[in-house]
Amino acid sequence: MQLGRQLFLSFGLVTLISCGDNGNGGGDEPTPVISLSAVSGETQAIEKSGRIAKFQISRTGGSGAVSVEFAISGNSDPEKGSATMTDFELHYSDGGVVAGTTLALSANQNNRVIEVRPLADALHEVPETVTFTLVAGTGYKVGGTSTSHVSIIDAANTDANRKVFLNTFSPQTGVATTASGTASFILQGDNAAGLMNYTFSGLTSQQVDQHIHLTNGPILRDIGFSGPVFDFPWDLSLANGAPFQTDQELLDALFEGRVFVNIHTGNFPGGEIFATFIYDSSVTPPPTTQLTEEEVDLDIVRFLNQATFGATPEDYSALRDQIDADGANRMSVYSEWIESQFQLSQTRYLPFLDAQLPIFLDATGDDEPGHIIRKDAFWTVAAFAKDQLRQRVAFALSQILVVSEQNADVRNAHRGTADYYDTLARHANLTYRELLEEISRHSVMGAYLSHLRNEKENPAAGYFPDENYAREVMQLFSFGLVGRNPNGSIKLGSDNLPIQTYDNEVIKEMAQVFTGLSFSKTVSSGQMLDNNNFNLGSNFGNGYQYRWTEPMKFYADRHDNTEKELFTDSGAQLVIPAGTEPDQELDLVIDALVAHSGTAPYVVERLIQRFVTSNPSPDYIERVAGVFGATGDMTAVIRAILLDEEARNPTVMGDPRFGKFKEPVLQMTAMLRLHQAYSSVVIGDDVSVVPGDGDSYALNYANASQFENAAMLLRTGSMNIGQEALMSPSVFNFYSPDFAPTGVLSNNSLVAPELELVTETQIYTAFNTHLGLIRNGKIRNNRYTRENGTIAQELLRVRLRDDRVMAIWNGAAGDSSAKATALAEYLDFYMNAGRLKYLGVSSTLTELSNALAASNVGSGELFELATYGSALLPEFMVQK
Amino acid sequence: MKGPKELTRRDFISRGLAGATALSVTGLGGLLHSEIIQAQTAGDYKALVFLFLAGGNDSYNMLAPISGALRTRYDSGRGFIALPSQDLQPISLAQPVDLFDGTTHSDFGFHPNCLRLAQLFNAGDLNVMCNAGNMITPVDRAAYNNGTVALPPQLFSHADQQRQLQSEPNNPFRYGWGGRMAELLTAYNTDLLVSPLITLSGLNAFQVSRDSLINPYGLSNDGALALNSFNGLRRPMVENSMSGAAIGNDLFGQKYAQVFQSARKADVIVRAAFDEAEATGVDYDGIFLAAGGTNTKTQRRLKTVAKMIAGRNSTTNLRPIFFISMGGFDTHQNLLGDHADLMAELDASLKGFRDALVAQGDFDSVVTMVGSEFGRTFTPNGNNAGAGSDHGWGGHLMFMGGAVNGGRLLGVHPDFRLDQGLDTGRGRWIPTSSGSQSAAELARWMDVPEGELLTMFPSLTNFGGAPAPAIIV
Repeated sequence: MQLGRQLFLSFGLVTLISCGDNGNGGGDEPTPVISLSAVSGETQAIEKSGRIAKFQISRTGGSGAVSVEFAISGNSDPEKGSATMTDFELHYSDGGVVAGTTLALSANQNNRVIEVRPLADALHEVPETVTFTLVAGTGYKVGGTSTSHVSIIDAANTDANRKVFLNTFSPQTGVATTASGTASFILQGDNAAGLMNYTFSGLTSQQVDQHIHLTNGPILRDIGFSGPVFDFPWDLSLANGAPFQTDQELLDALFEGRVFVNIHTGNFPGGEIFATFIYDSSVTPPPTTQLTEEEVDLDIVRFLNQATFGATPEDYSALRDQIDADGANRMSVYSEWIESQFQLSQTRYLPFLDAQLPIFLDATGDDEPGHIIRKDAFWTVAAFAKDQLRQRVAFALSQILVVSEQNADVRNAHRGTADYYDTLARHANLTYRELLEEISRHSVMGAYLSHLRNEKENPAAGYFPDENYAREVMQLFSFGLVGRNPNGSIKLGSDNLPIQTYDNEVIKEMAQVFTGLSFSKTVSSGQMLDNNNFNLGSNFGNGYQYRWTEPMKFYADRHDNTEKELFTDSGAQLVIPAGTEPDQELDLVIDALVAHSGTAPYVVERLIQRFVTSNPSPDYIERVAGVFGATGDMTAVIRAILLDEEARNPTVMGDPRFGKFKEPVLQMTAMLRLHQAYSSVVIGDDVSVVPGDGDSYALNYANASQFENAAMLLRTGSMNIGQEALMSPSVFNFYSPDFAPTGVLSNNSLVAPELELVTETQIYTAFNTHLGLIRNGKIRNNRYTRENGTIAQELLRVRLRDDRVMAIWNGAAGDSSAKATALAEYLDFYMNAGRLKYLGVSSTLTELSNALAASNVGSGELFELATYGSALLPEFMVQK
Repeated sequence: MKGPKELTRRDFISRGLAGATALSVTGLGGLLHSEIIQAQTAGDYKALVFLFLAGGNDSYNMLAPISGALRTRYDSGRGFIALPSQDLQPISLAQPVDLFDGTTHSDFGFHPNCLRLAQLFNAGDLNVMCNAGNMITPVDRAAYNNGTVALPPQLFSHADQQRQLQSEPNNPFRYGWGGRMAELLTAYNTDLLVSPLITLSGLNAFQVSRDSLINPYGLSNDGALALNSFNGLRRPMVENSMSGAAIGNDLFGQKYAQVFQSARKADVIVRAAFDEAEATGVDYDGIFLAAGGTNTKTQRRLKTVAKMIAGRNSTTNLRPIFFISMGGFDTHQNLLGDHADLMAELDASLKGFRDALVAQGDFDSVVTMVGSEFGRTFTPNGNNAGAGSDHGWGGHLMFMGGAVNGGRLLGVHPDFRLDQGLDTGRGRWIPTSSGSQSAAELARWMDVPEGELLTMFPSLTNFGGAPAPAIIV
């Protein structure tokens, strides 16, 4: 039976009237004290399976037979379901039906269990609660607990009991559109909640909103983000304004086909397409999947492509062996790997730069400009550093906390810029809070966003502090322009518009925080000294670079120490009292920036986009934002990103919307690593590794053990592929996080930041650069080689090795066609985590292997096609 | 892929898209076939070039008063970043410009490094729409301060204001006005192989079309690139993999393949255009050099645009829309030094471009708009000559071409009074006209049907429903 409202059945009232306290009236035996309580673990009854719930009565005192009265009531929350006597029967567990509302204990019986046996019906009901309450009566006292709740559900939450609602999208009334799509809602067995999935395409214009609606009624649930929806949880709770008094009415509406989802667009703000959920009892949802051995293999490579600069056979084998040894629990193996990566000694750019500065001279004996060495070091580090994960995190952070060598100061302060990158890497497993403070104080950032030597205001004299850093530290480095919920969706204010996180008055006040910062160090006679001159200039000579590697300090007399009214979060405004000491003030401001409710989802979404997928689900963002915490625990964040179910479930490889377009830099590093890029300059910490025949040279470097064995110096010079680390055109990074290419991606409300780089010109340039590297190797122009011929020009040429390609070719059995298939699949395995073979529908794989089969092996054509194809063909460009 | 003979009306609309999915059939713009023929036979060719100054150009040092009360207020407001009046390059106005305080002013000069711009202005080849900016509806200071007027979302933020100048000052972003214009001019742009939207500076908001029908074509600084050694087994391997059917349902890979196909299709046309330009005998390098050019990226790009225009017979597109972005304008520090370099580059770039267009006979059919996402604070952010200026609001738009109503300062110029009038703080001037008003005027010049202007620029309704007058003759 369904209850429209709370029903209180008080069968015990009559006895209450005659209730009198007999006290110890009998004189011979104490009055029994009766309690009624739940039976632990037995409080739920299930209609479908017939599972029984239980409660019990107990007594203390007395030993004679006694009858007690109880009352039955429903759920105290009138919106929730209540069960009545028609939904169940009460039986004693030791036999017999409970008569009316009286429970009996026989003589000497101190405890009795009562079963609540559900009566199955054909109705679809929300979970219903029934409450049993002991009431006072003659011959006993009520003591201890007197109430027990039991819930009765239709069916258990198992895979088999899920119910499926389906439909396709159709145009709304009066709307001309060819948009289409499909939708499902999978309701769990107890009817309390379910998961919604839908996709659509072909909208006439940009999507602006999407909601779950009641037919001819209000919005039941806003979906706080745009685009397709995967496993969106909906708990069928009553929204404000819904014309329902109870959850049951909403469930009825769902089963009656009165609930739909619709997509609102710019052209059709009232809704362009909709899909009504129709129950279809003939559909069975797919069972939960288990990974096969092949899928575990693919997932290892996927993991490595997400977490390193490119999967290699060595890294794959190491993880595979550990998983085999660990009983196939790959998650714990990944987790250990993350831990061990962060334990490795950090590969730092600054000492690596310092080791090379004296080596490379131009024809007149002058040092090579340091920024060239620093830039080239990126490829060596990406290809050979052991601390791959830390370096990948640093590269991701360099695209959030952006400085760029397009700025002359950043370029010329080469040691400072190397140190800046080292700072990012050092904090890869620390906190975002400490990182944000360090980069705020870093003089390279000070030069890039111009808060270095920023003077406090003097309105009378007509000048004001520089607002540059104040703006970007909020807009780009912490919480962004609009308020965000933990799942990354935009927070709306009471006016239904996005909440602005700050206005220009806050910028002006924030600019005062970043006044009074300048260099802390200077140099005299080659010695680093403390600096006390606020106006010390930006000198870039090799002897003057100390100032760029040491943090800026506050000059109190240049710092504005008035009160500052800063941003407001969750109703609380950050106000810095006048006279606060500047270092303490910066601490407070950085604390608040990172603890701001919008910072975790903002930063987390940027990071997920760099490692895993361009369009993370709100749940994924929320799960990772949950571990970010008030200080931004980076180890926890990176672990959560890489180990999340959304990152690790290999079935997403077949999802056309999942994953990301590979950045040109990562595309290149994957190739350098798989094909073992080399030069003739070994990096070693022992001069004895220098071959004596003059064909090779060793860079003597104390920290060589941070690199893999046989690491080589990769001085490639500029790689003309459309992207270079630390070379973003502006502080807004190489691409916008919400770039949605026109066409099928934007029609699906999907973003693809990396595709902002992809133009006709960029594609041609990248094709030509790859071909040049594959054929001829790559070499920096010849001005900067060591005098006296120690490093001859040719020794620096960077080439790819064909060893692995040839080993697969030669090792594969069969004719050239069979060999070609084996080689194409090998390339697919490492570059694509085997996705093309796994999905089995790739013509790219066929085209690649056809070309390989027909190629001339001896002339190098085989290797050329293998590398060119696996670097540039469209299905190799996407990381899933 | 279908051969050219099999192209359908739908394919015709969908140039640049690999698949025929997601197309609206409502994008033809309503022009009749006979009108297309008429347009072509009339030799009716117009090109729009948008030179975007990224970062926020300091407009009030690009064009500054030389004398009078306005000069006095300029000196006191700008302080350390004021340009000496005697160094400015004087211009003569066809008529005095209205100031916000109701007075007029005539005595202005361009930046000291902009002698050529002053000459172009005086010769009637250039005009300026004063103090334009992103606005949804007219704003006054009291309403701004009270928060009782709708403002463009995220005023003073680079990314947002750039997007808004290139589209409309509202959220969410739906299309750029260049992209929308191309859609409405489909009848003029009939080339199936190369897009009428051409970018020299990568993808941008300006050239995003509303119904996703037209993808911009990305051209390199120096023109068409060739694909090296694209032969043997390599070629079929790549071409077959890039064909739409081959990519399966991966949406990211599909987009990449579309751009590759666009590059291949445009290859021949673009190279033919450059051959045609070569055949004109115009000495592009010499002209840009003589204009003071130093072969900067912007100058190379403008040179390439001039050549594409010279080679226009290689395509049947009669209304191409070009986009170039020039960076470096976010002068938070060292305004006097850095802005001087930028102004010198801009001066030589526009002069070189103008002279090249004149030499090839196209100056009258090309309008170049020069604009930036916002002006900058009038007051400096430091107490020495190394000071800069911060993000502001209103700033100048410039228009160059034989068709423009040259030699004029149009609209209303700020009176430079701080803490009153147009000032929202530190001399962030409230714009006196909206960027969309000027953009609509260019759309009208490009022959977008009058009735479409309000659908392209919905905010025009709040400004009397009409484009900014007088930019075009």
